[in-house]
Amino acid sequence: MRRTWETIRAGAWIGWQVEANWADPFLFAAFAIAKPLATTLILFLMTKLVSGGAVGAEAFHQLFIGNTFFLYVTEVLIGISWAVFRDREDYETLKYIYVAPIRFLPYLLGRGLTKIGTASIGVAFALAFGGLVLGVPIRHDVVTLARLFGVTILGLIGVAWLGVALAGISLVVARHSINLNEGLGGVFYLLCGAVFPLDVLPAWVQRISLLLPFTYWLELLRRIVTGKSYSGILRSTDDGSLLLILAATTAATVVGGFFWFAWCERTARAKGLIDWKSNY
Amino acid sequence: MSRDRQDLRERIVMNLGAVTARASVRIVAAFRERSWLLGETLFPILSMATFVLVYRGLGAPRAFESFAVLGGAMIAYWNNVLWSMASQFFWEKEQGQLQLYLITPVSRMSILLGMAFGGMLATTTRAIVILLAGIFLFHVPFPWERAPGALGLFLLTLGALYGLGMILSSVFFLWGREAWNTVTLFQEPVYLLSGFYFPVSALGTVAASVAGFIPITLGLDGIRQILFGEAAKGFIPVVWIVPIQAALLVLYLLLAHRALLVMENLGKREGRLTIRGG
Amino acid sequence: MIPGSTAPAIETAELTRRFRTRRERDVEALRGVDLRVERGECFGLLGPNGAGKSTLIKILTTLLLPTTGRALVAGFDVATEALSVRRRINLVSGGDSSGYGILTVRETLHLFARFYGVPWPVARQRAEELMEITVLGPKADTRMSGLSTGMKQKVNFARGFMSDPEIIFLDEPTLGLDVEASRSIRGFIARWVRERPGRTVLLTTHYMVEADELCGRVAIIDHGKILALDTPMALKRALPEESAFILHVASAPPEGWSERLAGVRTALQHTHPGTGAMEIRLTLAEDQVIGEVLGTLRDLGIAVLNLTKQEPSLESVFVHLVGRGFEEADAAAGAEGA
Repeated sequence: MRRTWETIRAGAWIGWQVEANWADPFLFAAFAIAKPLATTLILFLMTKLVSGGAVGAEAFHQLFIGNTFFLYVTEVLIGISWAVFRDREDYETLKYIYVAPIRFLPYLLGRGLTKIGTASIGVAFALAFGGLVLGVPIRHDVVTLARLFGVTILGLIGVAWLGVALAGISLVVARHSINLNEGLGGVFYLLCGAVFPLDVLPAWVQRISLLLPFTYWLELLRRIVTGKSYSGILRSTDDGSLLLILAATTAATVVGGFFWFAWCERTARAKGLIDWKSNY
Repeated sequence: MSRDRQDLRERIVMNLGAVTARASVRIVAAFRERSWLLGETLFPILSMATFVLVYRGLGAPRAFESFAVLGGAMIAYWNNVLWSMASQFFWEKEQGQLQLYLITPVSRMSILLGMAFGGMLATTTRAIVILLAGIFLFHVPFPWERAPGALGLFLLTLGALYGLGMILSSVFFLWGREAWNTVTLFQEPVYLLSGFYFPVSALGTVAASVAGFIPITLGLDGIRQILFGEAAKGFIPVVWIVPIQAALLVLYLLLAHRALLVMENLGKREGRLTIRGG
Repeated sequence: MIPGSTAPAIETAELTRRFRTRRERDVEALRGVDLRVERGECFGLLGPNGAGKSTLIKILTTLLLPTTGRALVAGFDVATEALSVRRRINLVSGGDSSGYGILTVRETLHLFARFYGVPWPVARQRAEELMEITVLGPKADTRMSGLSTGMKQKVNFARGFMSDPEIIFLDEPTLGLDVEASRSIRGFIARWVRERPGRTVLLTTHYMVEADELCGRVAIIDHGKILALDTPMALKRALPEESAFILHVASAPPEGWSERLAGVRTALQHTHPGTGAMEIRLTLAEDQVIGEVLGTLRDLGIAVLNLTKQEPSLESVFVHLVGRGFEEADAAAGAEGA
C-alpha cells in the first residue's frame, strides 16, 4: 500500500515537473485558463447570437456548468495519454519506469492527479469568470460548496479511471492516435449532454448517455450550483438517486478501466511496444 | 543558360524535391499505419455534431447549424497548420532529427511545406467527412452551386494560413517546450476569435478586426457569405476579403522567410538550436 | 581566400564559444581554437567528454554560431555563408538512433538524399552501395522501427554519405556499436577517404584505436583548447617516455646480466603475480639492441617465451599533456557539469 502511494506520488511529481517547469507562472496560468475561457466564450456568443442578445439566459447557465466541469474529462483523458506517448517516445523513460519494481498503474494515476490539479485551476477560473462577468448565478454557501466538493471528487474518480483505460489504448497504438483519445473526449462531450439537454439526442443515443457516469455527474453539479435541472429526461430523478447512479456507474468505470488497462498492458508487453517509437 | 539562372533552377528543383520528400514521409505513413482513419473521421464528426446540437438545443435557425459544420471542417486545417507545421520543428528537435534538416541546403520553408502537405491527406479527409456528415446526417443546408467560389477563397486562405504557421514554427529554433505550450495556447482561443462556430461579427468590430489578422477568420467569414449570403451575418463584404487574404498571403510568407532566418540565427547564437527536452 | 576547391577543407581562427548556464556562469566550451584541415585528410579530434569536440562540430556544420573568431568550411564562412557550407557537408552523430520508424531503411536513405538534390538514379545506386557496405542490404525493406539500435546507427551512418559530401563530420560514429560494427564502420571510412581523393573527414572520438587507425593527423582537445596537433606517430614520439620491450622468460637471468649490454637503458624484472612467469621490461637506446639482448639470454640458456613491444599510446600522449587519463577526464567533466 505504501509502495503504491509512493508510486502515485512519484507519478504526480514527475507529471507536475513536466507540466509546470516550462514557463513562468503567469504563462502557465494563462495556459490553464485559456482553453476553458475560450470555450466558455464560444458558447456564450452562440447563445447570445441565438437569443438575439439576451444575456443571462438560463440555457447558457446550464451549458456553462456542463462545459466548465467537463474540462476535467478532456484534460485527464488527453493528458494521461500524452504522458504515455511522451514518456515512451520523446523522453524514452517509459521502459525504465516499467522495469522498475513498481506497478505501472499507480504511476499513471499519479500522472492523472497532476492533470486534475492543473484542470482545477481552469475550472476555478471559469467558474469565477462565469459568476462575476457572465452573470451565471452560482450558489456558494457552505453546504453547496461541501456538496460540490463531494460530487466533484466522486466524478473525478471516474474521470481518472477512464483516463487510465485510455492510457492503456495509448500503450498499444501509435503516437498519432492521440486523436483517438481526443475523439473519445468528443464522444463523451456529445453523449453526456455537457452543452445541450439530452432531450435533443435521438432516443437510442439517450440510452447510451444514461450509461455514462458523466451524465449524472454533470446533472448533479448543475443542480448543486444553479439549483436547477437541465435535461428533461433526468428531471424526475431526485438528487439522492442521481448520486447513487453516479456511484454505481463510477464503480463500473473503475472496474472496467482496471481490466481494460491490464489487457492493454499485457498486449503491449507481448508485442514489444513498451519502448516503441512511432513518430513520423 | 547563365550561371545564376542555372543555380536558381537547381535550387528550385532541390527545394521542390525537399517538399515532396518531407511530404512523402507522412503520406507513406498514412497508408501504412491506418489507425489515424478513425481519429480523423468518426471523432471529428462527433465534435461537429456537438455544436450542431447546441444550436438545435437553443432553437437556432438551420443556417446556424451550417456554421458549425463549416467551422468544424476548417478547424481541421487550423489544426494541420498548428500541429503538422508550426509545432513540427519541436517534435523533430525532440526526436533528434531537426539538426539533420538544418544542415541540408534547402529552405526551411520547403521542409515546413512538405510537413503540412504531408498532413493534408488526413486533414482533407477529416474536412470532407465533417462536411458530408453535416449535410447528409444532420441535413444541414449546403448550396453546392456556390461551392467553386468558396473553394477559391478557401485555397487563398490556406496559403495565408501556411504563412502564419511558418512564422509560428520559427520560435522553435530558440525555444522548446515552453514554446510548444504557447503555440498550443493558440488552439482554442483561435476557435473563439476566428468564429469557427459563429459569425465573427458577433465579436464586435474591434475584436473581429484584430481577429482578421488570423487568415482563417476572414476566410471563413467570406466562405459563409459566398454560400449563405445575408444569413451568414458577414463581418465585411467578400469583395474586400479576397484582396485582404491575398495581401496576408504575401505578407506572411515574406515575414515567415525573415522570421525563420532571424530565429535560426538566434538559436545558433544562443546554442539552443538542437537542445532536446528543453 | 576565394572559396573554391583550393581552399582548405576546414579552417578556424581564434574560435571561441561561450555558453551561459542557468547559474549565470559562462562556460567556455571552446577557447581560441586554431585549426586547419587540408582537403583529402582524415583528421581526428580526440578528447574526453566535455572537451568541446561536439561544440566544434556544431559550429562547423552551421548548427551553432561562434561567440568570437571565425570558421571556414570549404572556404565559406559558417556564420555568413551557411548555405554554401551545407551544400558541401554532411554530419553523422554517433549514438544517434533517430529516424522515422514508419519508413524502411531504403526509404530513409532516399529521403535525405532528396534534401541534397541527389538525382534519383544516383541516389538509388548510392543507397544500394551503402547498404551493401554497411551490411544493411538484408534489411533494406525493413522499417526503421524494426531495427536494432546498432542497425539504426548504421543507417544513420549511411545516410551521412548519401550526398557524397566534400567534407563529412563524424561525431563519435562508433559510439555504442559492437566490435564488429565498429570495425566495419572504420573500414568504410578508411576506404571512402582512399577512394575519393579530395574528400575530407573530420572525426571526433575518444577511442584512441580509431584515431590511430584512421587519422593522418590528430588534434587533442581538452577544456576547449587544442593541446597538441600532429600525426599520431609524431605525437607519440614526442613523449619523453620511450618504447619498452616486454619479455617473458622461462627462468630468471643472473644478477647484472644486462650491464654488459651498452644499449640497454633499464631492465626491470619481476615475477608476474598471476602466472608466476618471469617478466623483464627493457628500455633500449635503440630498437636494434633487442637482437643483442636476445643473443645474451640465449647464451645464458634462458628461453624467451614471448616478446612484445609496447609503444606509447595516444592515451599516454593525453596523460602527458593533460595530467590525467581519459576516464578521469570524463569523470571531471561530469562533475563540472553537475
